[in-house]
Amino acid sequence: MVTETSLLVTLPFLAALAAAAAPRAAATLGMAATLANAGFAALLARALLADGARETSLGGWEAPLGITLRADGLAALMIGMTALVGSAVALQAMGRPAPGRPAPAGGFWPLWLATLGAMNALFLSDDLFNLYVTFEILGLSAVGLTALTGSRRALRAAFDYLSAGLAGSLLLLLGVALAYAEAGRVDLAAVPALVETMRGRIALALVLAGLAVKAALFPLHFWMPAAHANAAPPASALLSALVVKTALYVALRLSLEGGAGIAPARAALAVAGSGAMLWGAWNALRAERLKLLVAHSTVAQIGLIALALGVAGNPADSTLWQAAALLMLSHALAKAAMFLAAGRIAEELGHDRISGLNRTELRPGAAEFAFAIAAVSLIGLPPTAGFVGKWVLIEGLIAREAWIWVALVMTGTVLSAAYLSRVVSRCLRGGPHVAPGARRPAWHMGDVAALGLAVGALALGLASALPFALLETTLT
Amino acid sequence: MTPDLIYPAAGAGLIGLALWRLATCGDTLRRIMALNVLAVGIAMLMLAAGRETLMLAAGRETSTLAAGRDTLTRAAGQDTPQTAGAGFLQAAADPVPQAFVLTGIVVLVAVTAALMALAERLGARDGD
Amino acid sequence: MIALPLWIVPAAPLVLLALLLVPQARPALRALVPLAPLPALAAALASPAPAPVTLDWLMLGTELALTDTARPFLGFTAALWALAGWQALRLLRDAPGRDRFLACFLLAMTGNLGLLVAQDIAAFYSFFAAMSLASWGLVLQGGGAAQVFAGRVYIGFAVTGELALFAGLSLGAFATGETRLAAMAGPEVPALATALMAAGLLVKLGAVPLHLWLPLAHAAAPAPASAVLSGAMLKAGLFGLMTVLPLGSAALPGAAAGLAAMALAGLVLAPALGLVQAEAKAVLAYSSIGQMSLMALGLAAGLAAPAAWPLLGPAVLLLAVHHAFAKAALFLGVPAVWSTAPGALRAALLAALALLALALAGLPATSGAIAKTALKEALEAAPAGWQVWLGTALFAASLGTALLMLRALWLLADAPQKPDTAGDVALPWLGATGLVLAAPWLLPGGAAAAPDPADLVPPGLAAALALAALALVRSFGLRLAPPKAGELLGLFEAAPRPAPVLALPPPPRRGRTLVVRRGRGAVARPERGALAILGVAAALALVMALAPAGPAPVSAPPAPVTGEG
Repeated sequence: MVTETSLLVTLPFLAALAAAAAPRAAATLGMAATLANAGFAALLARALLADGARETSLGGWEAPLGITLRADGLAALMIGMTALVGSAVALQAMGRPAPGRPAPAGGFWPLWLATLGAMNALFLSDDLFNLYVTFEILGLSAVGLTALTGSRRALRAAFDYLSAGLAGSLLLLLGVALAYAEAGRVDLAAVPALVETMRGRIALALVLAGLAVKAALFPLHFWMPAAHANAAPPASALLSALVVKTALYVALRLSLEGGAGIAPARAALAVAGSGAMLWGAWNALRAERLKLLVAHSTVAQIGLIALALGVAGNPADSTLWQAAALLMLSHALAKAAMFLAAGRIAEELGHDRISGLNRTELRPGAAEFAFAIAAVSLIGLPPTAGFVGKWVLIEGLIAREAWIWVALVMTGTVLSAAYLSRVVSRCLRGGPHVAPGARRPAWHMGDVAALGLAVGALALGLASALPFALLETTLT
Repeated sequence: MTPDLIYPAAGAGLIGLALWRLATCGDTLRRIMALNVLAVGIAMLMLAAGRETLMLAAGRETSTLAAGRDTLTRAAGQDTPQTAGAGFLQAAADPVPQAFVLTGIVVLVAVTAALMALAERLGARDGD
Repeated sequence: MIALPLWIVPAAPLVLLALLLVPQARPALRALVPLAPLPALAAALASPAPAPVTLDWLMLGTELALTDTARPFLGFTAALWALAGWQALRLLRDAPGRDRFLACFLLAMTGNLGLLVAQDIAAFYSFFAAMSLASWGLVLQGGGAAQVFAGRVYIGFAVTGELALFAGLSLGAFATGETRLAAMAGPEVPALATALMAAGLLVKLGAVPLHLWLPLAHAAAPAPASAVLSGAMLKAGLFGLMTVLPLGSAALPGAAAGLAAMALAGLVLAPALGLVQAEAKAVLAYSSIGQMSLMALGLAAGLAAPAAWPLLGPAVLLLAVHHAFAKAALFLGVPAVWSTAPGALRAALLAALALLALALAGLPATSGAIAKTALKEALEAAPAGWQVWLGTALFAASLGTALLMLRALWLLADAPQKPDTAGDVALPWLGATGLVLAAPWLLPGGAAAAPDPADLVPPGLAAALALAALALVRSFGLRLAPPKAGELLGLFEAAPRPAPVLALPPPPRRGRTLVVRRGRGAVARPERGALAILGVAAALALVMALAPAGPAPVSAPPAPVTGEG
């Protein structure tokens, strides 16, 4: 039976093949597929809000041998987030390159569509092995996106990314093997059985360690800043906003399924998350290049989400995990906007040194504005989505009197304000440090995409009832 | 040494070797090889796990095993599953870990190819 | 008459702002800016009051309603924004960055109108923040060194105030479990929360010593922006305080004493510092500090004697309305004076301004006298210990205002003509002046108030003092050196650095930024990553393996899982 669910998985892959086969029509095809995907995502969300969660078995094969696609509110939220960010980034990639700059490499569209398909499949997967396979497809296409510029740094970063990703995948696979040996099945519903025994828990620990590598969770983030900072702006936006979220999504799923038994892993997540928040912020404060700063801020924000996941407690008796989901969503929108804006700023100025962002002749434009709005959302000022996420999180923590975590979240917020204000304040300050060839390019698709995403992050805060309603239909 | 122990032990040994190499060696090509060895070690462990589940299956039959056994029994032309039970358990391995391993090998080949391609380009850039 | 939906009050300027983003539409839409607050004015004047609206989809559920307290606030706020918008259009006709100014103007208007009808803390805070932050753009308009310095001070104070307000509201919400704004004045709200909220709002009110931003910002901003800053936005702080303080329900002698001390300091400091200023708008700003201190004094009395609040509240409200119109009219008059050459026309303008100044100083048969009489009568009910100094304080306030007004008029009379200021900027001012002069007949019970000859004493004394000072200055040839703007903060104003010539990144400065620069770190080695992965995986496996089987909550309090176990 053809449903939105199966179309969400198959359509991007088919489009990726077609785009690879017909490079001339790749952009048109890619844009059409991306928009179609967004439409299906919206349909899925609407159907879920109306009828509740649903499961689809591919080819009529039931689990455990067959592949079951499970579409619930959380998955639909993530798919929607992917569709939204993906559409904006695709819009940016469609735009003409500024005159005098090299045209984007032709490989973008097949790689992006494969990434999209892999992410959709991952969000819908219901068993660990399927997750492993989708992670691999995702990793391969994401590495392709990283290496797209072909510069030496990008290649080096892509290599490190791929080998770290492979190591993480193998940990995941080892965990899956152990889990199968223990429970005789690998679907997510087996997780409660796994936490009962020592070997099952070790299997889960290995899976989580693999996820930590994929999510670039401190201290396993070593591959990430270079990979995200050296890729082309649309690729960075996709990697930072979406790809790392997949691992966090799986961790959230495990936490939802694991219930109380997985508490030690949650504590470990929270500790690693707070470490990531501080370490990422420290490095962002020291970064000399704009994209590197944004990449390090991703490390910190991933830490915040992991912390939220970790402190959320047993999902059976607290809905704090919804804060983590909302933070994922807001970070995706804001960070994609930020990377796109950073790319545009670098294009305008001819460099991306933070010390040289001051300008007099070049008044701050749409890109800087988008960056500022995204920064506001990342810091978590009202009325952005970031604010709503942090508010729900802190409210829950205060109700539980977990003052240490409250203090950590607050510290992370202040630090993020500090490092982001390094950029925003400079954009507002005068100073003739503009590179000789710099000029303000004409209004550009990239501006539309970045501004749209940033405004989306803002608007999501105003209409945060929708994601919460969607999350209510999550199977736990 | 019984086969029950050989596979897990060999798998663990391979994993250990690979990890040691990964942790001590910075050379690109060797790291790729080490990752491959790691994957092979994990595959061995999975196969061993498949055997083990099979042993357990006498007491705790999973639905897969039952389904697979029924299919195989019918294919062999035997009338009732019950008569085939014990003999089948001895003869065949659990198909699920094998499917896992096969998929894993495909994935590994793809990733290794990508790694090699990246390494090759990097090497070409180094030569500039 | 069709019932006006209340959401249109903040939505009208916001929609106009969104439409202004389209460059093609700007020429046609700019003229609509003064009309944006008119729905709010209509809502304030509508009878009966517009029905409350609830917007569940907005944030965490937003409720808008027009309370009895908010109604006069909404009325004068909307009127002032309309007049100021009118003048802004005329004054900044050819100014660079006009559209940016108008955008900030509309956003601040949205915030200011919205916070008066917001009933839940999220909406109130969002509107308040929008107003405060957007006003930054109003202060920065012009882009000179004074604007940059004033902008820096303003945004520092504004953000600090926002943070305090936010912290207070959050604490209050947690303590009461309510998100209604009205619940913030309840008895369950902790004292710390009330203090934080009040601190955030007192920054906006310009209470001493949180007033440092106020003279700078008022002097730096264009006159229409100063008019709304002084007339409408300071009152937003007052409105917030009247909403969140437990006025009329609980006696807080300690808080009342603190607030009264701040108010008295303001009453004394405002004329002392304002008289030595060399710019008319700065003098007017100091007079605003004095007047707002007077209102704060009313609030303090209300905190000390809850029983007196039913009398005090309307008096403070009356004072707020009177000051809003009078001060805004004075600010709007500044560019009108600038547009004239010294001569008969300017003399006529100054005479009209002098009428406004007299109203502000509380001359009999003006709105000022009505408001001051009401306040004086209400303060009779203040605690006995207060009566000793209250009379003196009120006299000092009137005298200070009168002196400041004389100084401002003196400075304006000497101000050079600014030829780029068009003559029609005077039209909105005339509108505002007309409103102020008609006030005795518009205000409730105004015309009936008998003039009190004692009210003539402060202006007369001020005039005598001014004449004496003038005689002194003339006869001894004294000269007054104006102090640096910004009082204490003026010491921190850095001299503008010469711009570097080369288009290259500046050398790293040490000790001025948060950035720690260091030599390049060691090159990351790939095997470290593998070690890290290995270590983390092993540690995690160990933690999980050693964890006790079954539910073992670590960070959460023990959850009741199974009763029998």
